[in-house]
Amino acid sequence: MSKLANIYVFSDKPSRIRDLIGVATPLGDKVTAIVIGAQPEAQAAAAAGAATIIAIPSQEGVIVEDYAPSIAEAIRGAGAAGLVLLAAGKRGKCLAAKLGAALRAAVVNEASAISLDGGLAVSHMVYGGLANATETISSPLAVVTVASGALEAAPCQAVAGAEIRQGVFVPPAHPIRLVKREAKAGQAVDLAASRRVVCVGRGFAKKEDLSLAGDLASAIGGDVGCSRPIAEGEGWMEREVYVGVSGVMLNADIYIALGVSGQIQHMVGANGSKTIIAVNKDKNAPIFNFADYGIVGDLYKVVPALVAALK
Amino acid sequence: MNIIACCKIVPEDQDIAVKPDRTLDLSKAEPKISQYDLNAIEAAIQIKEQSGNANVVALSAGAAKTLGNSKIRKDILSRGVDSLTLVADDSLEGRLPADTASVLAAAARKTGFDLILCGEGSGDIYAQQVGILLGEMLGVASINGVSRITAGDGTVLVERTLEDEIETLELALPAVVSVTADINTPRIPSLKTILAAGKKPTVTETLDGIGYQAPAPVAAMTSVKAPEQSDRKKKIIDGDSDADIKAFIESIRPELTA
Amino acid sequence: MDFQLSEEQTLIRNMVHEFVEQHVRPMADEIDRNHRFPEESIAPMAELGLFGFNLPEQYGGSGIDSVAYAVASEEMAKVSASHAMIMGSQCTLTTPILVKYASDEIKERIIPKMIAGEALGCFCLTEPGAGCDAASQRTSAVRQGDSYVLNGSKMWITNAPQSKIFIVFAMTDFNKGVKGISAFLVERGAPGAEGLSTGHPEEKMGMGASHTTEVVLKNVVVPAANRLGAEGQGFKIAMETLDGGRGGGAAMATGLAQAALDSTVAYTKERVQFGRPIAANQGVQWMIADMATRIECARLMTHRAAAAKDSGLPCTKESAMAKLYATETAMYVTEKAVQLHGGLGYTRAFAVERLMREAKLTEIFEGTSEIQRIVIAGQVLR
Repeated sequence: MSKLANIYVFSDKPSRIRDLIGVATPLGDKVTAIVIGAQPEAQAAAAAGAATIIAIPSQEGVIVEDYAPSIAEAIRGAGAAGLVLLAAGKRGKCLAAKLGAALRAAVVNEASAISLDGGLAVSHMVYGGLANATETISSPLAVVTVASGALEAAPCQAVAGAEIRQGVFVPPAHPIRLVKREAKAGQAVDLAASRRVVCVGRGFAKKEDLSLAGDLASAIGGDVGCSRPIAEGEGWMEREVYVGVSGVMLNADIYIALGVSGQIQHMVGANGSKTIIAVNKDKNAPIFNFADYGIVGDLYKVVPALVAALK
Repeated sequence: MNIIACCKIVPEDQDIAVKPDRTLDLSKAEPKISQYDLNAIEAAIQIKEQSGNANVVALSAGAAKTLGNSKIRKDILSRGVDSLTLVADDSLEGRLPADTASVLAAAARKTGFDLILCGEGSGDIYAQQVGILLGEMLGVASINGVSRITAGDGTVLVERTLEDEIETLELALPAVVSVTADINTPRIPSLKTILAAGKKPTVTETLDGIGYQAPAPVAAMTSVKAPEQSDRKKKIIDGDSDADIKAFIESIRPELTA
Repeated sequence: MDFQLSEEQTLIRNMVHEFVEQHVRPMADEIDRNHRFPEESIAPMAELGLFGFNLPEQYGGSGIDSVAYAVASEEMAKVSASHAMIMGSQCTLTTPILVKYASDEIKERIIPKMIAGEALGCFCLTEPGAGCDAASQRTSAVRQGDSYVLNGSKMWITNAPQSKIFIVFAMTDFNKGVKGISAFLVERGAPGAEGLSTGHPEEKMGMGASHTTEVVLKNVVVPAANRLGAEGQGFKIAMETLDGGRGGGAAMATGLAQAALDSTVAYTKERVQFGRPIAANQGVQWMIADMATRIECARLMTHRAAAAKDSGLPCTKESAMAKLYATETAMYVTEKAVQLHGGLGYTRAFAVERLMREAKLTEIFEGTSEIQRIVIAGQVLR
């Protein structure tokens, strides 16, 4: 099938707009970026490679999700056919569903593939990462969220003289009131972009021991991630750095798993790494089936030795 | 306050086998309550415990052959909800999120509600959108990614931990809220709640009974396949003696210094 | 005849499974290795109602059947036999005696605390010189006005260091043999009980997390109202309690065996020798078939004895047979499991090593296999 006529991209994070345009470019003839704001935001989108930009005027105290009717209106005005790409964070997923409902469009979150062979088809993980499901889209428009690094992005050139159109703000029927917003302490690294990742699993006995992983990461020039229980169960690390379903999908050159059992839900996030190295004292841990190199041993013994040897 | 906690019955993913052609064999997978929906149920019960004056209805839509299983029904009821409403119809097997949301919307309209709680996604297709779709279809406020809820007078305060910020929002009721997996640790049912489950009311609705009208289809699931395994070298050293560790370091050194 | 578990029994099994996987499995090896009593498990276990099986609802129990208890005990022992021991001691060896024989005042005051896990109990029968032979008890209880004065020492008392409630069997009349034994409730910390002390935990081969110690009674004074049942009724109380406890022991043994088999099945399917998984060898298959068959049989006997008990039918023989067969099966299966895990089976890399140590105790506690055979023969030859 030929390319889609129209692709719309939106992210409240300027850093993700370029990535989404990169994903959109091979799929569509015309990529339109929707931004909240005015000239500066539109120019930023043009610099990221958008040829057409619809700028919705920013409103005081309105959360991004409540721009859904405005974004829907912009897309409706432009034909409401083709594909909408959003960043697969919580905001993106919320917006996606709101747009899907407003525009009667199919919604797929965290796409693992987008295909145009024989019609638009979007794949995503099901059964906790055990399988990929492909949904063939029958609505004229589809709304798809894409995690950072999950899909191949073409390099984009800044567009000079991009067409900037003015969108309108359509107030939501049931506005949500923003009570408070705080920046999170300590910005998490963008693991999806890391080349080398050391991953912390349940083999660590206590939070203080995570410095071992940090030492190894500095020794190899990498970043530290974790398995989901470390972020959501123990709360030892930020949710933004857990690897696996609904978390980070790695594209690293080297991934070193320390005390990670290697459940499928985790491995779907780690399998994108070129080389997988595992340290686990349980010989039967599934991680060894996914590893290039491994050692059945105590990470408290192996890691310090490894750090010393690499210095 | 009338709270609906939505829950889906899904196959136990531990018991799903991958066949040689990479399709899935679900035949040995027992039905269970979708894991993240247990968070929604627990959140509902905690609101009830805090406010002291709430009624919690568990709502599930699915195939009659699944929801007809009285053990599953007791399992839901043993989690602390006051009653269970089922929309059971074999045509609901394997429906995609837009359909699921429209069935739940019709059922919720009939049941009545102030607050609907959903999990972040189902354990089977994990579409992560039913809660929001449901809110839009019902024409009420909706939000996802909620890791704390405080019920107020005609409102709920919710906290969302986003990628780089934490925000607190106020939603006017009625509303639909999707909660994250870390909002709580769902309690394990006790002997007492298990024994009491059989005595709690269950209402079984039909699609006609809730006035359901199928929306135009927007997508169809055309294939479900396990990903291809990339071949790994699997050079595993079994043991952590000093010599083993040395051998391990030497085996990976070329990769690390490349 | 229906061999299916009821929906409630299945949900109870799932509940215990959920609990042990979440809460107990992470500590199972550590508490065994360090012989550490899992104090932090008591409140959550009580919360789930695990100390209230087949105990009256008026005291906070669930009134649920013995089959459900057997199912729960099996599920618990799959992950930690020590936890199953703690549950068993509370549910089958101590609280039921108070339910049946204590005064209303004691029942109302103590049973709810036991079911809520606030007071653990222990069953004090065995003595250094009186194991299976209860009649050679040396602990004495001498009536003095409205009180009894207890002197003596007890051995192998499970949960004793953590217990507040001691069910103590003592001689009120040394001339009457077993008919001279009476049962008493001793509350640690109560006035007059200052002379009660517990020893250092025995260094056991297995089940280290369930502490077993000596209990010493030096001039312990208890009110006469703390006598459970009539004078001389103690032996009967002890025997009927052990009858009830046997079902729990049988279920625990079945769980240990099942866990060992599960590990063996997974290991032999994965372990490749001579180019194929060792499970492909007929010799291995036959061992696994025998293990699985014996476990099935042990479980059926255990459930059958529990069902008989619930129906109020005689179950002394059935319980003894189930206990004998299930515990010997646990030993047989765990020994084979260690064998099939090879060298690794003899290390702490796999739970089968611990399971085998735990299995051995089941053949000894709550009446050794030999005593079970005597009980069975006594019933059969009657």
